[in-house]
Amino acid sequence: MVDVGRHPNIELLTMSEVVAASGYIGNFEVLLRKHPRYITEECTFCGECLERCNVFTEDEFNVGRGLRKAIYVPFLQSVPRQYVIDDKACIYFSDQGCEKCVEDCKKHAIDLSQTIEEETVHVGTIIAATGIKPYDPTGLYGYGDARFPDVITSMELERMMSVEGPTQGHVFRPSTGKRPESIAFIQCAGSRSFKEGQLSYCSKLCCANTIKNALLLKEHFPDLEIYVFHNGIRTSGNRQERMFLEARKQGVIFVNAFPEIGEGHILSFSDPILGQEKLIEKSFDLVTLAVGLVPTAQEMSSALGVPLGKRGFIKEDNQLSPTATPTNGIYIAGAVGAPADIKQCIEQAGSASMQVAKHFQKDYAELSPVIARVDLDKCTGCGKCVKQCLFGAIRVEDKVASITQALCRGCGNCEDACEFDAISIANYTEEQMKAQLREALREPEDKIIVFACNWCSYAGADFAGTSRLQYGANTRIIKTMCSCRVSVDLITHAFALGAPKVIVSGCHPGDCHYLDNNMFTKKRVTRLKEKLERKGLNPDRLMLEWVSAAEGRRFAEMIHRMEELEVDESEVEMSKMIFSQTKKKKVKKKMPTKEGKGV
Amino acid sequence: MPDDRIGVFICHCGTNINGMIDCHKVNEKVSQSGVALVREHSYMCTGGQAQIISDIDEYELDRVVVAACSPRIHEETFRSVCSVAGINPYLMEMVNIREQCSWCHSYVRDEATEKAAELVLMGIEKIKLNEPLTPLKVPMTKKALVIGGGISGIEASLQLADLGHKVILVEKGPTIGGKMAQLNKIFPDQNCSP
Repeated sequence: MVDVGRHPNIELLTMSEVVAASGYIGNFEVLLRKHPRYITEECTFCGECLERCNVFTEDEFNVGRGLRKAIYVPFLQSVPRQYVIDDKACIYFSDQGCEKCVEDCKKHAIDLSQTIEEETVHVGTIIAATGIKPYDPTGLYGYGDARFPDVITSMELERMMSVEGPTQGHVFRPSTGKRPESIAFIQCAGSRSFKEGQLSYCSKLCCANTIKNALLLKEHFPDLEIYVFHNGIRTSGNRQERMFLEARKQGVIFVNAFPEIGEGHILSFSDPILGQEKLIEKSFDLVTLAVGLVPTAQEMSSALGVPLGKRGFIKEDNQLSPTATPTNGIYIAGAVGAPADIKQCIEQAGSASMQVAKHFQKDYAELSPVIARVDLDKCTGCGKCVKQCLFGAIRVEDKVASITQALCRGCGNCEDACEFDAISIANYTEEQMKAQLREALREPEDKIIVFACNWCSYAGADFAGTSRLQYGANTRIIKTMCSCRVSVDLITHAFALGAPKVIVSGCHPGDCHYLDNNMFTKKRVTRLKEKLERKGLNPDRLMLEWVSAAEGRRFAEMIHRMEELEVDESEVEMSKMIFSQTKKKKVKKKMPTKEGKGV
Repeated sequence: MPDDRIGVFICHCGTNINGMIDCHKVNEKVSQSGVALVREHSYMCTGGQAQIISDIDEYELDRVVVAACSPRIHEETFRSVCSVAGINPYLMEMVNIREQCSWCHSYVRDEATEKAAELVLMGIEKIKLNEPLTPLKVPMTKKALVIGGGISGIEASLQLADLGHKVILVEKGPTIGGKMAQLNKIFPDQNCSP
């Protein structure tokens, strides 16, 4: 921490937050909002101001267990070593005119006239590492209820056990101020539950954290009775299991049960060995709720334009690039992406900074040229493609679509949206796809056309081959970058050319390399299947299947299933006829030229 | 594009392809499609590279189809071979006749051969319409923004700063340290919080 404060290459901006970001890799413009600290650089950390201030407020660093003054440092080793004035607590700001600290500061380092400032910074890359916050268990096990003062959270225990904490490291019962003789830890408090407002996931580190605290407590007070109520202890990884075994050796009792709390901090639980009928009641002096970790990424996600996953954490680009986001040049580190312990945070920070350093090796960023282009003669500026682009790479300017090349990923989702055939992916154009189809279906017979996405399904097909899994040689695999590139037009074109069977395959939902673009694929294929049915055709002739790069077997089985489908000639003829008649793409109306108007 | 001079390079991959597919037959069938050259080689990715380069020169090829393993393995290899020979790397197309043909149709030689030839013809149709492309270059501002001064942000900032890169570290609160600073000791070794 201290290293950060004095590193010549690091500009540390505290009291600051990111409001918005624009641009692309190599060239991001980020708007920052700096909140006033009311203390200037002249502060020498002498402490005179702290002595003079008489306003007390709740100390958030100690999770409300203790008080601090309105002028304060969160903790002694704070970086930067400067005081800060809490303008919500300081009575100067509520018009009571107190300026005692200003009067006493010999360095004139207190400036109460500071206001919020905004600043734009230019950077090449961004690492988002905004972390998490602990889950608020109010209402659970009587937490926050005056009747149960001795129910605390794991973070409160953590502060109590710290020598610098509000109790100088002494653990006591909030109700009596005396040392507890028995402590219960309740794991998964508000976690791994589908109840509303609770966390459905495992926060990964609470088990090890509880065991750590249990071991520390046992070290100081061998007679202390410690029960850990859990829903399966999860101590994976290096040395954690050893901690668990050590805790048991030290006499910590682990009970696989969900207790309930009653008056007098009595926990009742059913004995896991004797069964549900046998309820045990036991009184504890202190109950600690091991709470999970809650994402705090919402604001930053919208500021940076990087998507959140279902649980509110920043979504990783794909599982093989866990610190990358779908936006090139923006990376994540630590618990902003998923609950992570200190070791994992450091590992991820290393990974993210390595990727940034890789970009900084060169004076420029090199981006794939396989991206969308707009045919200006055909584009009408209708803007339908804009809505399809999850990467925000398309804008309509002067009545034509314009691509921000650095933002385009080349997925091809825009192609299907365009009714005028005006947008196409370089070297994956409609014409090229159709040329391949024509060649593959010169003799259609019993052919199976398989559209496979580059990242998962095509790789899955490769894996089937590497595993020497055999399937019919009547398959013709056509690669697209993303399954969303497979437009309705392309599929119907295959049927029009006499294809008896067509498979569209992509990454599993949630694994798509282009955010959730495969959901567009699903929508399109489902709609087309319905159309086949309406036209009296067998909808099973069109199959949608998710195949990952590791699922060679699944790929082969998918082909086998399709092989079993019987399609008779008349059916093929019928679809050939129906889809040869599909309407042509719309053509842009000629606009009157300026000369024509006689300007 | 009738003026195109397309060269097709068929890899035997030892017996990995030629063992299950009759590469000569593929050669014969593809030769009738009007391409400038069809060349076979036992290992296109190794000895074949020099062959491709000299053929591009000798036969004045301007587009290349390589029928071999998966592009996931050697696309970059053959793209750079083309670069060396003076052809835009995006005017090279790979056709997968190993992972997606010889290895998964190992016991039906005739059918696999037919499929391989058709795959090559599909590749030829595609390459005819490929455009030369150049990777997009955008200037790189060598300064990183790290958002959040917890353990992850601190570590990332220090790593980059130690490598000599400029870093702006933004923290919402009055101090860095994050949740880690609130911890008494950290598992599994009960070290003091860093």
